[in-house]
Amino acid sequence: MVAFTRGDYVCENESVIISANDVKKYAETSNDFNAIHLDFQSAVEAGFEREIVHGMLVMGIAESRLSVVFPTSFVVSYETKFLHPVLVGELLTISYVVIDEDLDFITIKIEVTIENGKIAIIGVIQFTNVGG
Amino acid sequence: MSFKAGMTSDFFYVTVKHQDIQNFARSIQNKNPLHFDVHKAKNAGFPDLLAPPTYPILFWQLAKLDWLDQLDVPLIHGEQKFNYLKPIVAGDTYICKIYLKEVKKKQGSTGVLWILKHVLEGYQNDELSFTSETTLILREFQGNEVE
Repeated sequence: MVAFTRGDYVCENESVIISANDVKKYAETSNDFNAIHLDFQSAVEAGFEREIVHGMLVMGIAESRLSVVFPTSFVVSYETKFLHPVLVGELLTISYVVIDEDLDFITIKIEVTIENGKIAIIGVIQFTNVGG
Repeated sequence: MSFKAGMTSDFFYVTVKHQDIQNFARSIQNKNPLHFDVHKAKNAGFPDLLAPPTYPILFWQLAKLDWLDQLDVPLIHGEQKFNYLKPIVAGDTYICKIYLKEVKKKQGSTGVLWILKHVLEGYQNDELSFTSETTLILREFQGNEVE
């Protein structure tokens, strides 16, 4: 599908900072007001350095960039593991590498790296052409 | 409080609205026009506005899960998987349920960890349309021992 082969980077690495306001908006949309995302003191009491981003917000943003690269395709599967918390306001680097492709499908590995160089989220997403 | 594989919510209905897709897409900074413009979605071969793949996470709001009801400790999201047999588009109605697929207890460095694998299933006309698997991690401490 499209002009990619295994091992290709689908697009340049994405640099993302998720702000407290982004997290607040996601909390309102998803109705997830868990205090570890919104309140510094609660996050610290739960053992985090400061407020952490909803895993689902990072997962969603990671897919949003690809959604523009494959604008008319449809996602048949998307899975992620949340390995490390992502802190509000920290710089994230997201990479997208093709791990499989054929006529109808393309499978991409997604890695979200946090400031200390650790991988916070690892994921695999598969797109297919509509009716393909 | 206790967790057992097989615990299941009642069935619940979800209708997917245009505005909900647009709001959700905005909240995850998605600029794909297929989430915002019905004509563009139709031109691309979809019957209506296409939902982003992480959209069914919103359906959790509509489920009543007795086994998570009384928890006052934060749950940590460990893993998430979505699988689709067809796309979710605006106007769709799904019959859904959420069940506990697997319960595991592990000794972590700070105490006992419970690993709770949930599955959300969405059906249309008695056929499975999508599944969403959510693994939540619960840290047990004195006062919230799990049976």
